[in-house]
Amino acid sequence: MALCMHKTAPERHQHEADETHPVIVLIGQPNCGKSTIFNKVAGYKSISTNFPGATVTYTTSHVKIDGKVCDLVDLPGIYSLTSIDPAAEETKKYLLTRKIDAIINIADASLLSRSLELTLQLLELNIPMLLCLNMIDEAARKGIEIDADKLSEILHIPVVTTIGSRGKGIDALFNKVFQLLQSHYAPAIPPLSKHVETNVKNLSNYLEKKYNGTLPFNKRLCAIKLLEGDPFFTQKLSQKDPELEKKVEYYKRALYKDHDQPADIVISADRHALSMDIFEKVARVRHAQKSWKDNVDNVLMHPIWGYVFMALFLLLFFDSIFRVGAVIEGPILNFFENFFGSMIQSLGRDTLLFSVLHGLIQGFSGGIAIVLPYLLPFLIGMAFIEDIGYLPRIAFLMDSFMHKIGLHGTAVIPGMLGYGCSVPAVLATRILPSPRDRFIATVVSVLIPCSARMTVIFGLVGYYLGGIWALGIYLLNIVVISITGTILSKMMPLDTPGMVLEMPSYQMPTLNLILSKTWLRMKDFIVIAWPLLIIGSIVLSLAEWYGLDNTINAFLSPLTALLGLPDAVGTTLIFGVLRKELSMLMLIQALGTSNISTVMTNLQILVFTLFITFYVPCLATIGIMGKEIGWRRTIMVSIVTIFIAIAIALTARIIGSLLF
Amino acid sequence: MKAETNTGTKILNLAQVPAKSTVRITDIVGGWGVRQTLIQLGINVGDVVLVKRNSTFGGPVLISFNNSDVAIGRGMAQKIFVEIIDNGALHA
Repeated sequence: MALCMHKTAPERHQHEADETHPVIVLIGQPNCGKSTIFNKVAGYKSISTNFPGATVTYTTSHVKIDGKVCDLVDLPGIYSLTSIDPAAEETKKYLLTRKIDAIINIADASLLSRSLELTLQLLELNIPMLLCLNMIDEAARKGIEIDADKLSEILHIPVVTTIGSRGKGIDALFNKVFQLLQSHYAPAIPPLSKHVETNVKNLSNYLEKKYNGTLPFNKRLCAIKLLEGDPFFTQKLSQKDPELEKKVEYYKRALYKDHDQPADIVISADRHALSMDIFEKVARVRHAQKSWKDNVDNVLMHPIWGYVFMALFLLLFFDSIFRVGAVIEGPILNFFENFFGSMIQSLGRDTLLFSVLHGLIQGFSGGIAIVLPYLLPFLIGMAFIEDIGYLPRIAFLMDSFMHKIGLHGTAVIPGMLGYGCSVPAVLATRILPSPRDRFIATVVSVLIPCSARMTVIFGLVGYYLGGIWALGIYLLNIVVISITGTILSKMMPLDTPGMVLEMPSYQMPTLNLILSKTWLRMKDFIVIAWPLLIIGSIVLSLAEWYGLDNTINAFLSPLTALLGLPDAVGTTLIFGVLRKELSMLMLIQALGTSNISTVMTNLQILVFTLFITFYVPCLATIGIMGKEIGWRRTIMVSIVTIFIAIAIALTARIIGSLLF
Repeated sequence: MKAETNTGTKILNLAQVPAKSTVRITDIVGGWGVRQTLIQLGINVGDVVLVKRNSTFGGPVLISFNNSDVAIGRGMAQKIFVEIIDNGALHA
């Protein structure tokens, strides 16, 4: 679905270079509402959710506000300029290497003291910046009252307040940004403690002398980040200066000697204290208002009830999608079936025109009758789960289980997204710091039946065999994933200490937000997948007309025979690699009827669906996997999935033939 | 758990602390990556945090401080040393 949810970096770069509009970037800690504000002004383009790490690549949009034009960039959230995961690395690289005219630093006002730690670092970049205190209503509810003017006085930068989700304050925010572009920017960077400052100064003087004006970034920023041990700066700067590491080590030791803590802790603690100090100067904390949000976690994260709720919730979620879908699927299928009947009579089955038209209508109707009924309710439900903030709770509950398969709770997030679409799921593995975890999480996410495969599971097995069978496939899938994860983690022993994940406050999503998000994802289906379904369908019709399908079917007949499937399904397996839904639609096309049960036994339907569920990820997923985990591994994983699929489908055939 | 007899001077790791305790972080042992992961979320040596959940069945420890809740995996929690300020029993 989410083939092109985000524009990829290199393409956009080219585009930006040609433009003369100011580039304004949104930066803030994860889940502070950057994408929400971005979407308010740019239209819904960047998937926003209520969990940290939803944005893992950046989205650029050309926006016009009050007649003024700019390029607005939504960057992945970062807690600090010292990045430890690839999503944050992306932001840092952008900040340090691109032309940026202004920064909008968005802070979750209810987490101001922590947010200020990032703000203090961003000030060091020396790029015109404005601080936006977002979710000011949530802060008020928590009893935090912030004096924005006073904060502005302390930092010497404009400070505005907004409620992104309701669009409040956003016009004023952008007005201030455009003013900022015109004015002289002179922030007041609050100094760290004296001892730290001395060492920073000495190191930055050294850098200045050594680099003699060719230092790629601001010298003070370089000095601080080197002392903090940031790998990006260390690598970048020691390339040209082999002695640098020794020098840095010297100053680090100086800090260690005086504070009895590693230099990075000393500096962070300093910044932490400074932020707290500023926070205390500008904020008054009173009693928080009572809210339903306070007690929800007592149930949802309860060691027993939490799991009961989660199981019921997920069951209900998939069950209702299935019920809604099944009610719609039948009548629409019947309609198209009747329609074909009359068309055959008027055109005659044996004309080329009929073949092409037949393919076209099959592809078109397949999209409406089979995919949409399941996809639409799923996307709405998924948007709700994402936005209300339940996903991180699932991560919390599943941490122990995930450890058993060699991962940790955070990996649940890409996993859950995998039920939607494998492409964003693979991208979401970037929130995991370790490459090993990312690899295992990628394999797991890809094995999870995405919504395309869900339509096959529900549309075929669910529809013809019953919902309980569909549930069975999902449970079997979890077993297979567990075994795969366990094997992989045995092959690659654990090297990470585990999960550290923020639990965001619950947010009741607005209907508008859910519909916008659903539409954005739906658009991917309509614009990319549906035409592909129709074209695929026509191609298959033509192949049939010219007798090409027999060649493909003959080639795949050892496989189809092994699984006890009709020869004609051979071609559908090939199409399934393009898009998983295609395999089902092609099945209808190849068998010449939308009432599959007349040409395939229930067991055959089950075996076919199992094979489709597990074999080779679709082309878009393979593409993104290649980028994220490397082509060698991607090919390896793809081949392994074929064997998994054959093993499972064959087992089902053998057991099934004994039972049915 | 041994925390019951704790008087506030004994050093435990975060995974050993019962739920509802308020603790002060005394040390974070672990490499650069571990330290930075925690520091980024605003978890620093010297901070006072409330342990909201720590299940006997294992699983992550949930701590709360400055309006934010953070789940910390057990392995990571064992690298965070704390002293108990208030074991929560007084309020029960």
